[in-house]
Amino acid sequence: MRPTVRAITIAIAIIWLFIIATIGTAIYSAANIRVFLNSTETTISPDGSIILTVNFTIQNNWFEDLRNLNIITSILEDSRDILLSFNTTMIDSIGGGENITVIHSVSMNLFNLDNETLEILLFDDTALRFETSVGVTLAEVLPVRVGVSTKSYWGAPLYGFIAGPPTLKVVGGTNYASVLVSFENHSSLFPVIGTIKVSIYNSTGAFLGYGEASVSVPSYYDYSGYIDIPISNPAYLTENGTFSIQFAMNMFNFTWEVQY
Amino acid sequence: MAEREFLARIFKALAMGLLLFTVLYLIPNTLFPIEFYPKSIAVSYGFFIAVVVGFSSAMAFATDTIFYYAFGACRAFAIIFLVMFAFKGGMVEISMPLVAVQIKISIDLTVILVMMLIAEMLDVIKNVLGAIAFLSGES
Repeated sequence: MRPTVRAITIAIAIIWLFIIATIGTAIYSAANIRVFLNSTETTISPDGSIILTVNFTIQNNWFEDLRNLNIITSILEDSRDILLSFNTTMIDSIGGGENITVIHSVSMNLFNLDNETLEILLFDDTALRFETSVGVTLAEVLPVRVGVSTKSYWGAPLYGFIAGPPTLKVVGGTNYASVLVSFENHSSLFPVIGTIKVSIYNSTGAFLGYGEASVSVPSYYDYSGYIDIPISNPAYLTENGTFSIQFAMNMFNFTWEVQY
Repeated sequence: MAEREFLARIFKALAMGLLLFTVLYLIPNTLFPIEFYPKSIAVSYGFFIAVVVGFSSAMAFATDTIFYYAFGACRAFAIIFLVMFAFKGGMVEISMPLVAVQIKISIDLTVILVMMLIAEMLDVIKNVLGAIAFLSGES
């Protein structure tokens, strides 16, 4: 029995040595990783995407390879946890003593968002949450993931949008429903350039007319103007009704129905 | 048990406890102060030290008796449960809120957990075999 007990004791000692060696190697491996942030920039692409690009250098000063390095960035609307965009950058391995420059980017295109999410982003000042996590396998057997979460202010490009109520006016014998449209562009990222198209329906749902206005509102400026909608019969214009407003803009398309 | 032998066992148990407490707590705490660890890890580590120091001291006190093996097996079982509880099945997550950012570190310690469980299971087997050998008068 004694040789068996002794053999087990040796096996236990070897396993503990292996555990300690693995943890020690992982700690030293992690301690010898250096990350240098070279640049970050936000750009707008011709197709209307907002692109956040991070350029950084990873130095692996340890003799072992760093394996399965992956960087995941997600952009979320903070208060409602809506995923707006995400991107993953994979690097198979960084050899011992090697440097590697990584360009990681994530883009958000307002044209690709659903109407409900877009309504929040267009009309409400809110916060975007950037969740970036970096995963790597240390000492060949220990997958580690470090995640960083930051928040950034999102200014609504159509903040405080108001339309109506329509007022009747006659110009040169033609009847117009004149609709006051105003909003503030709180977005620091882009100007609001495009066309606001307004269709008007009376309380019975009958289509009365259609008008549009071109707008060009730089960041932090407000817009206020009348859109004149020619209507054939002013008697159909009721006190209550519906506007169908289409925003055909450089950065987004959005259709919105609102009561007046 | 003679009074002298009893005192010797007490001294041996205290010496063992002091040695393990120094190696497992005082030295690591001097190098990496435990206040800087996340609370969950600090609490689990505190339990780990209490289990190892307590049972090892009891084993030192009960040397050359059947209780030595009983305490050894109990220590191994206690460490198994403690490690499983502390490692939460292998995934350890540490959150560190800083001023404007939230940092979360996740470590998959499944491999380490499995190795620790194998080592502790072997420790249980070793103590059972040791107890059988002791009872058969082999040791």
